[in-house]
Formats: sequence, C-alpha cells, structure tokens
Amino acid sequence: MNPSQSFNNASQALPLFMLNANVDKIIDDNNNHELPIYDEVKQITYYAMGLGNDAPNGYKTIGTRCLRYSTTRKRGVSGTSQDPKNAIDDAKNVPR
Amino acid sequence: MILIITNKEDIHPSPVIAQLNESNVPVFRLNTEALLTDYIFNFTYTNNRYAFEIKNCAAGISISDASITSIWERRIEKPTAPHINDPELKRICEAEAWEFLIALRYYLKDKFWIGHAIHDNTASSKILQI
Repeated sequence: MNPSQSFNNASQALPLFMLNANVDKIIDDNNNHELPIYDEVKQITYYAMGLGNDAPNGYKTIGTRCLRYSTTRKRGVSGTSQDPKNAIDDAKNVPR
Repeated sequence: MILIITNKEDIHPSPVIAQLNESNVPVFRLNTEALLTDYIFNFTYTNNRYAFEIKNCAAGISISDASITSIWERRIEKPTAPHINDPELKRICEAEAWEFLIALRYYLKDKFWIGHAIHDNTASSKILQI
C-alpha cells in the first residue's frame, strides 16, 4: 500500500508512519489478533500470529508487542473487543 | 486457590496462570462473559454458614469460597447468553447474571485482592480525591 494515497492528516495511524512502521504488516498482525483461542483446560488465551511464527503449536501468547499496539485494549470495555478508546488499534480501520 | 476474574479474550492472565501452574499453585479462571454458559454455581447454607462452589464445566475444575486464598480481578465483561433466542428473556438473564456477579464480588470482599472490585472504585473516585 502506498501510505500517501490512503491516509489523511486526521488518521490515527499517522504516528505509525513517524516511526517508519510497516502499516500493512501491523494491520495484518492486528487482524490476526482478532482471533482469540481459549484453551478451556489450561485456562489460557492464545492469539493467532501472522507470518514468522515458530511456536510448535502454531500459536503463542503475546506480551511484549505493546510498543506497536495493545493486543488487549480494543474497542469497548477496557481490555476487550468492546473498548472505544484505543486510538492506535484504530489504525486497522483506516481505508485500505 | 487463586481466583482470577477476567474474560476469555484477555491474554494477560495467561503468562501468570502458566507461571502459577509451574509453581503448582492452583488457579481458577472465571471468565465473566461466559458466566451463563460455562459455569455452574452451587450455594449451600448449613450450620449457619453460607458456602458456594463454582464449577467450570469445560475444564472440569471447581473452586469453593473456603478454598479461595486470593483474587485477581482484571477487566471483567458483562455475562452474555448466546444460547437464549428470546430477546426479552435474554435481556433479563444477562441483567440478572450481571447483578449476581456484582453480589458475588461483594460477598468475596474480605478476601485478599489484586484490583479490588469495591475499593478500586473508591480509589478512582475523583470526588473523593478532591
């Protein structure tokens, strides 16, 4: 994607450009994180990862990637998919 | 046993639970949005004493109020009833489950908490802070 053609000055994703971030990859990764997998027996939540994942079971937990975006603070109730307040996560809503 | 009150989407309890499992500390995760689908609550009153047990049907584990040593509340969600089709019945059940969840946390208020369900609200009150 050519960033200049899809983002305006009001875009929430603008800070990502300032960090020379790969917005496409961030959006793809973030979309992957929309798929929580809950292990009922282990009582542990996993999120599917994008390319480059070498976890033996195909999934791994995420806990160190909050520099780019929060994996849990989505829209709606804080920490859930109902969280209205996560500006950086809104990058995924920018027209593609 | 440690009771973690959270939701299924929250990954932050995961490494904590993994670490507790490694340390052989029993953990019970209560995902509040699944209160009406994944859990059975059993209340008893004997010898002038209330007691309750929560059973996680999917995981096959239980926790009793007497066995709860500490509680970590982290970003609970309102209970949902996806298995109920009637809109009015669904609304009533979800509202009752939410009220029950509030009452349950009050009932457990004297336990050791991280992120106390009641006191945290007091601490976050701007009016009281003035």
